[in-house]
Amino acid sequence: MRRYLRLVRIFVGATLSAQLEYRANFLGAVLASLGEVGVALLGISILFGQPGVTQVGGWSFREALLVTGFFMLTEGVISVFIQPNMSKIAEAVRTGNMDFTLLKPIDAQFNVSTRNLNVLRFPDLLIGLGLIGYAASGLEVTPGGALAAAVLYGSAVVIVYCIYLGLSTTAFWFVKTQNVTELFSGVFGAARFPVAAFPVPVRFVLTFVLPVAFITTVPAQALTGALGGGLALASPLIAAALFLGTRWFWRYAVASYTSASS
Amino acid sequence: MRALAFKARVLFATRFAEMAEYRAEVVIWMLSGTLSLVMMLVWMAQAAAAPGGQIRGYSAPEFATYFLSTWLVSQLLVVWVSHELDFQIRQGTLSPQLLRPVDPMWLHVASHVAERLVRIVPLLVMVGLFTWLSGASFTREWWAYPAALGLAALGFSVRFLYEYAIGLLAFWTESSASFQEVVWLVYAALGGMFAPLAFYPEWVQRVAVWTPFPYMLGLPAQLLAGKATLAQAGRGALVLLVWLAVFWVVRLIVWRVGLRKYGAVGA
Amino acid sequence: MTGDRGGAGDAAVRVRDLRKGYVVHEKEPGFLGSLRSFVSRKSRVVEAVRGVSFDLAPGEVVGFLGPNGAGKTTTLKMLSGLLHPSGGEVRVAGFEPGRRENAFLRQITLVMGQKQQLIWDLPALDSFLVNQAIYEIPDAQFRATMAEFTEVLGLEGILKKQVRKLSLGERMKCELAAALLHRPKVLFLDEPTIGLDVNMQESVRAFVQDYNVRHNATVMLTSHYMADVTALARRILVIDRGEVVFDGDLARLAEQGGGGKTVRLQLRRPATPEELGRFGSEVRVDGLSAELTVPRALVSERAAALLAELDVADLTVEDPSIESVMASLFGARAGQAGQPERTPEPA
Ligand SMILES: Nc1ncnc2c1ncn2[C@@H]1O[C@H](COP(=O)(O)OP(=O)(O)OP(=O)(O)O)[C@@H](O)[C@H]1O
Ligand SMILES: [Mg+2]
Repeated sequence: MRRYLRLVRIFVGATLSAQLEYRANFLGAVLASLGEVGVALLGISILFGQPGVTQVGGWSFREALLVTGFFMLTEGVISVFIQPNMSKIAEAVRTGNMDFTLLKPIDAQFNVSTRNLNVLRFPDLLIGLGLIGYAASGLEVTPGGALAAAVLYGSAVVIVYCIYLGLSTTAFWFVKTQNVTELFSGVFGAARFPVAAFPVPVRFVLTFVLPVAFITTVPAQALTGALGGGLALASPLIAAALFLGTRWFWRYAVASYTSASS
Repeated sequence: MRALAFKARVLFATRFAEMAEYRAEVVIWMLSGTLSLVMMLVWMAQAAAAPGGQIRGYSAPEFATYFLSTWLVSQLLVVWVSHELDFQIRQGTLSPQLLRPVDPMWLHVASHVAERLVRIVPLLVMVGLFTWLSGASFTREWWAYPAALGLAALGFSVRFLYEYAIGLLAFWTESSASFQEVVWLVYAALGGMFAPLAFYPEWVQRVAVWTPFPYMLGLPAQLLAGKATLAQAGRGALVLLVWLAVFWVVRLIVWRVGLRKYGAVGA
Repeated sequence: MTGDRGGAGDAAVRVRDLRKGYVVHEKEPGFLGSLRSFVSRKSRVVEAVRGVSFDLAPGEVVGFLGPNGAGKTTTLKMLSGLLHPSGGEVRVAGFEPGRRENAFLRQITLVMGQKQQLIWDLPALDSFLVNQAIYEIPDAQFRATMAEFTEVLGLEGILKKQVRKLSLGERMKCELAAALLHRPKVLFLDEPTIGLDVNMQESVRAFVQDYNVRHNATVMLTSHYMADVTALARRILVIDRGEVVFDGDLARLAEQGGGGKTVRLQLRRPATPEELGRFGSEVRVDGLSAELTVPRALVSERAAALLAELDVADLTVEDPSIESVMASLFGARAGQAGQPERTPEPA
């Protein structure tokens, strides 16, 4: 365990110094972050801006903004921590550099998941937190609610990581699978609104088939104290199950990589 | 002339072969552009919950029609050339292409057109499926279809050119991908992916009409939904033609200047 | 986690009847071909390695030769655990590579001349530090190894430059250093000198040799540059179409391949190929110099006859170059009987 923490420190150091090589990118990235939040706000304000609309699916503007905040935060988590690593999996398989990873005497999943960081998108995290803070300031939030939200958001991050890893792992079989993760970003787009904003059958799908509801809606509900016990329990359970499942899938993929491809 | 046609045919055939290899990815790209579909669902739920079942004169099926149409059109407008250029310029794989006696742009055009052909069948299947699921109904006026297709073709050309110019920014900066993202956001927002343009705040609408985006995305979608006239289509086509000329020149200038830079320092 | 070491004897590498088949999909070229493979994919199995067996003793250096596509890389990948064999048995340093135990991975390395593990945008030193952490190399050992490598490879001054700014040769030196930082006992080198100039090849060779002697490491090396092999390895394994066709020392390979020696002449008066043809085969004449092949047993007799009957300024007898041996080995196998390639392309 100590050893793995040490490794994380070294990986972070290496990836940070690699990115500081390209200082000029920072401006572009900030621009993209601002554009992202601007458009997200535009989307939700159009929705609430129609005559006679004061709430969407039972959520007030502030509450929906909370969801937007969690959405931006998650986008940040994905682009800072998850995507930079996952996109390299497909690349490494295609170029054969996965060989080097597999030759190293450390857990390969750990290795591919922690090697890279995209610091440039760090502002996304701040914007997300800022939005959450702003939205929450106009709502009644108890300390217990905040704690629950933090824990549930933790399991949301695990869920997102597992989905990404599972999708990226298919790279061991297909060409050009960088795009498979796009598939998830597509579905994840639904997380910019509370699930209650969707028609009932879709709401069902987003909760029980694709765990999108657990990523933004559930933590937001926890924060406002509107969360039922069932969903609160389900989130960590789903996270744990997904984690074990993707771990198994990863190992299976590595085993068949070493038995088939080059 | 014959030689040119032959070149074009071979180029196209190999690109098609390449794209057919990536058929699974093509379907995935299609499914990943979900913003319009998400918005469709949200607006349908809104309309269903609203008193009178309508918002600004749109009922749930009308929302479905509008957003499915934007989805369909946006599928025809997909352009990834800036990613490819960014990659090629940074990895130095552009160099071999420069040795060939043809502007590399045409290679990219060929891939994009070929990809569109691979895309068309699954695209129609999915539109059919979504139509059935959502209760959308497209216009019965036959002229709306060629008009929408024409606008989409023009829109694709415009988008291709400006994305190409953005990709070429990689000659100077490492962040052309960020610019691409920002431009995509503007395209999606002003194109009408969040709602029909009339739903937007007044000032946004006033800005939008000066950009090509509403005419390449929202307008053909409105045509398909039976909410736009032939005259509007004609005006939109004119605007797009002007933008096409502008971006053609811009792309050419950026390309020339960029090549000089590339030649001077490498990339 | 010691792995089961039973039954491995004391061979560093032990391979028995190793096999590997790849499943490949085929596609006809062109539009119709794509359309057809769009609908259904045809697949078949390529037998890349078909029953290879050998043992390597600790500290041994072996050259692993064969024409393109013979199965060298495939074999090395199975030995390093990257590929699971489809049949047969492998033991490396007492481990079964396919299980990829950490203890095993610490003992070996695989250098691939065409691939690189260094972090592109950073100085090589940063990649070394990452590897230090991964392999848990104690600081003292790390410093000692770095000092050793810096001296032998001449890394002075390039360790702190970004990898992307290094020349191909400098990068390869750093790659080698990164791959050997953890002092593996078994080295698999797959074309480590590909694309390097003669000097650089020389220093890579010197480094491998030095490492082998210093650490008594077992080395298995593939290369298409025969000089690599002749300089480093006494023992040669030749593989062709997935089968070992020769296993023994260099000298014996020369015998087996050509069966004759090359006699080189400097003449004072020109001679026709017909004249020389009486003394040996494969005659080549170029002005006043000439070359012919003479059966091993008859060398002294023919040399004496040549000196007596022609006006010879100088005469040398050589073993045929390993290039020509390989060419004749594979030329013969390819079925073009008795027509060895004129220019001995390295096989
Ligand atoms: N991933 C793969 N999938 C299918 N076939 C493969 C794969 N890798 C190698 N092969 C085939 O296996 C055979 C042996 O390949 P291998 O790479 O081991 O040859 P090699 O001896 O290293 O050749 P070279 O000298 O060209 O590097 C070849 O026929 C090759 O086409
Ligand atoms: Mg090889």
